[in-house]
Amino acid sequence: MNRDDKIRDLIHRLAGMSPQPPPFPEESPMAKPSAKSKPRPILMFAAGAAIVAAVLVPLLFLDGSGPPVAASSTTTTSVPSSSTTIATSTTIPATTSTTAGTTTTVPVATTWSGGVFLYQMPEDSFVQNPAMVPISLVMTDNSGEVLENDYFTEALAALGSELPELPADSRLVNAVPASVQIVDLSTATIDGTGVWTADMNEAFLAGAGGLLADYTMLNQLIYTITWGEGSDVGVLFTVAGEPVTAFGSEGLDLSAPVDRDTFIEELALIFLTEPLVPLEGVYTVTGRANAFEASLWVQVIDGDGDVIHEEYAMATCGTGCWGDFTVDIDAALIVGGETSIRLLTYSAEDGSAQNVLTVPIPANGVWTMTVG
Amino acid sequence: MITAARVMNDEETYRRYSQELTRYATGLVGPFDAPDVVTDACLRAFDSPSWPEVVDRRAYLYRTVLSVATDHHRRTLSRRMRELKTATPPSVETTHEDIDVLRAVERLSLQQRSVIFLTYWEDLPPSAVADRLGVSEGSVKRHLARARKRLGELLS
Repeated sequence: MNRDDKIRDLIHRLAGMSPQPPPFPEESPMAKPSAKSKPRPILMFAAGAAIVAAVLVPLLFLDGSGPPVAASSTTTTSVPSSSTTIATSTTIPATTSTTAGTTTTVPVATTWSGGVFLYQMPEDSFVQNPAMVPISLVMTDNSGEVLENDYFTEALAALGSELPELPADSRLVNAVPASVQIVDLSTATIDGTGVWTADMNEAFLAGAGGLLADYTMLNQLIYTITWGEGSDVGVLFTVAGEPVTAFGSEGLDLSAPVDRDTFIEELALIFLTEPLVPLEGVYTVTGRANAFEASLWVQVIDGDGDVIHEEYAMATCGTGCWGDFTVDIDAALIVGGETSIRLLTYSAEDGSAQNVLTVPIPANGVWTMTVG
Repeated sequence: MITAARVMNDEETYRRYSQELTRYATGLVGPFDAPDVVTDACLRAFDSPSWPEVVDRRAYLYRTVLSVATDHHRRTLSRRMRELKTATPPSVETTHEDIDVLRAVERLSLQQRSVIFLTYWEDLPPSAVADRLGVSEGSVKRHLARARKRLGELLS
């Protein structure tokens, strides 16, 4: 019996061990917890101030908030479909107390909750593209100044350097220069699709100092502006109301709307699209990946750097195409301020870790910062 | 929304391919975990948003089984082999020869198991294996060559 015959015999013996097929699956014995339906903000500005007023509810900072609404955006002419979850904000009324004839007025504190996208370079390579990392954020202005509409622009400018809770080794970085500001945000309908129009200041045109940095900056802005939304919502960048035809170091043409997919090839092969926040007892790890056989792993790393839990994830597409993935991690495994979530793939060649993305979990589920 | 028609369609698909998928999964993860892998793979496939548009459902299910089996790759077979030596589940009869078979296959990577199973069980040429698994023909040939070499060493 030659080698091929021996192998054939072995494989046939193996196939002969096959049990009967299981019954039609009603419920998986190994199934992951299904992805919870997430609140999905849909752009709406026609109601303008009325909607803003409607969402001025007590702080619910884990509510899938979207970008805040500019008062001036109510002038928008076209309105994409209904309903919204816009940034949740609350204004705490000024309080006055009188002590021994002296009156003290505590400044109005305005709190905004939403999120911003930072980026992280994968650990295992210095040639790979950056990974998007969404950060759920609560910003409070205790100075008495009313926060302007572009909270997240302000947050982007401040994050990475001023967020006190951010661990030094988190490697979360901001590519958006502090000088870049969103002057106005509004919505419109272009070719039947709702898009955000982000009118930027002049500093935007200079980009972030290099082609990769330019792409990263754009991705950060696009993902942040479309916070909680998908790739079907575009962003049209303008400066002084005019389309941008030459952006950054390479003069990128941004005169047409761009979306989350436009520059996706400039991103790492695994990244997050939803912030890591506890909800109903689980941390839902949600992102996109272009991984071999659509397979990736999510690990829970304790404060000592040890892997205490590993979960397999399968993206909806892989090996050359981008897919979405969702994995639920039991919140009991997480200690805020100590634990990190690590996403990675294993090399098909030698089993080594690849595309490693490590995201720290903040102490209270969200990052907080005070501005003003 | 999963409609009654959709469920019927999935059931029909499942009936058609479950036997060969279970056999394929057996080649990947062994006979004990094969049913679970097939069940999980089918659920994932049926729940996938792209499932209604899939043209070659058979190939799609094979790839999904391989992906799901990856989760077991590093821990299942060796654990099951240990269990084989101490207890045998009533639904699957095994012999010492079977243990040898499992031990030999355990030495292969999951991709090698997949390729060699389709080659020697289904008698598919490398191009057809590549189509089934959604990989290049060159990749299939590489895995096949390595698997043959490894098994040749073990079986000599």
